Amino acid sequence: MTVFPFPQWRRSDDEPMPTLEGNESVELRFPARADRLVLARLVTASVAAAAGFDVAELDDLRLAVDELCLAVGEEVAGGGTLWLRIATTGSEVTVWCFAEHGEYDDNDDAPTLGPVPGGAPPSVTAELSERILDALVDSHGRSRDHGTTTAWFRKRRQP
Amino acid sequence: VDQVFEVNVAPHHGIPVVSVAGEVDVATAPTLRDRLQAQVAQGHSTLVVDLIGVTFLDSTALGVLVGALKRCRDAGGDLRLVAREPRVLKVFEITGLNEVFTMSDTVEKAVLG
Repeated sequence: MTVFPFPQWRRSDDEPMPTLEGNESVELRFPARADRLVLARLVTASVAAAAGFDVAELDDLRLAVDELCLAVGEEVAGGGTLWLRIATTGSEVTVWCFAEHGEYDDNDDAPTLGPVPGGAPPSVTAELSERILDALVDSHGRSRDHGTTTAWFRKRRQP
Repeated sequence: VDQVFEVNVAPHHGIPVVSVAGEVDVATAPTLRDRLQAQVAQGHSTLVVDLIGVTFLDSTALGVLVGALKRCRDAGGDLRLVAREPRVLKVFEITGLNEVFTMSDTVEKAVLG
């Protein structure tokens, strides 16, 4: 069963969460800490660049994967791991992200993932994140299974 | 990729100009928040935030700017943004925040309001 835990979260369409379908993919696993999010941006952009995405599209993908990680990273703000899987076919890139509790403890002063206290209310920041994903990728969504949320997006390369 | 993040504050015609450079994300946005809140706490209700040196901006950064805007307007002032890099302007356009903030392409125009 697919559950979208945030009522304001509008999916781009009714597309089900994509599967790997045998495509080659790159996987990245890193502590769910704010100062590690740059890794997700770098790796996603590198994979997409190798697949022929142009500079503007790479900028879009860097921001989109950042928002994807933020969306699920709040679940493990107290310490955990983010898993990222990036798959490319000839003309599109698909990225999945999910969080796992444990293993990495957020026991230093690094800011946690999620809205910054003292900024806009979390609901506003979530809405901004939603608008960004709506604009930058062709489709995106979340599915929840066994207590874990997986967020994903798919972006096609411009012809 | 430029990952250097820096925030500097300098007055222009009596208005603090907060110049930001580098990537503003969930890791660096708290520093920007602190610098903006400090200016308001010192009695400056109108601020200019210069984003010309910003190379990346996400929803947490936008949230910090929105929070600071509210503080400024609650104090009777405004928070004006300076941006001209297409990838930064695009983030404001797709979120609709270009209609919320007063935006200029130079610090001089922003200071003069």
